[in-house]
Amino acid sequence: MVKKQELVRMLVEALSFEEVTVSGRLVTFLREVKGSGMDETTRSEIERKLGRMLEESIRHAKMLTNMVKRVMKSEQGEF
Amino acid sequence: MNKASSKRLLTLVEEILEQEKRAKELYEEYIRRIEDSSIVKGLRLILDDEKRHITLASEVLGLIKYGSRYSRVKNGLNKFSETMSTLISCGIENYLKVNMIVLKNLVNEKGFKCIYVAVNKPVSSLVDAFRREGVDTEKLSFIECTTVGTETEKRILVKPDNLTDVSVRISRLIRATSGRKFIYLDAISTLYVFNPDKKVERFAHHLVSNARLKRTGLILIVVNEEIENRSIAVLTTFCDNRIEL
Repeated sequence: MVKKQELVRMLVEALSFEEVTVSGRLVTFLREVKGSGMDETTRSEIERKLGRMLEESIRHAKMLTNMVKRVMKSEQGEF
Repeated sequence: MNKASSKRLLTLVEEILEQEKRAKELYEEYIRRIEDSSIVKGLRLILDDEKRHITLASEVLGLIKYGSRYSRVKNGLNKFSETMSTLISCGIENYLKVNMIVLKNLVNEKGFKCIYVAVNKPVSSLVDAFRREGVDTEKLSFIECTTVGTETEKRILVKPDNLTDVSVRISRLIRATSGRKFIYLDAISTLYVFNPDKKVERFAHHLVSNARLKRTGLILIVVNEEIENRSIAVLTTFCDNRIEL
């Protein structure tokens, strides 16, 4: 069980991790792999895998944002 | 791809892999602490994705290190089981990389124990190379085909021209190894240097049947430059699957 304020802090920490740290690193990687001179087959496979990770990290950020909104609006003190 | 570019991409993907592992730990901790069912449900969905991301990032790491051959070996081993025999034929330039990809996949990721029959290289140098690449060497037992050296508990010595002895030693090690296991014969093509073709092929046929009977997977490595196409064709007919690189 965690208090409302603590839960908001935890969710915001996760949100920042998904939105800034993970997504940022994935975007940098995808940009650099384009100009790396890697063979086409390997590069497209890497882009497909990391592209999927990026899409899902963005979706995680949206889910976490909705959770934060819901917790903030709630009158519950503990979760 | 040049070396600097490859090194930079490797560093980046290693960082991504570490971040995904950290994210997994973070969500696991949250799920332990939070009791609200609707928040926990959402976090579980994210956690499932994070676990998949760890696999995806590991695969990307393999692709950068080993190129497209990584996917070919990995896809070829998707259905590998304790009753399956697989022949992997490769050129001399891919040979060492193939060893690492197979061992990392079957030993590190799938948890198989490995009975490694080393025909080409001394076990001491193989162990050093495997440790450098992060292969879990605790799950490996070795039979070394050599004419010199001293036997230890983890290193059994046999002469490469005595295939009956090789078979006997493999059978003993199968009995002594518990759990899911496979034999990795590196490389059967080198046995053609020490033995007549027919003798190696009889040995391979016996090994395939014996391994299946004892529920032990089998990987035979063939270095294309070492044998004739006819021999590769014969070995292929014995096995359930062939991966060609």
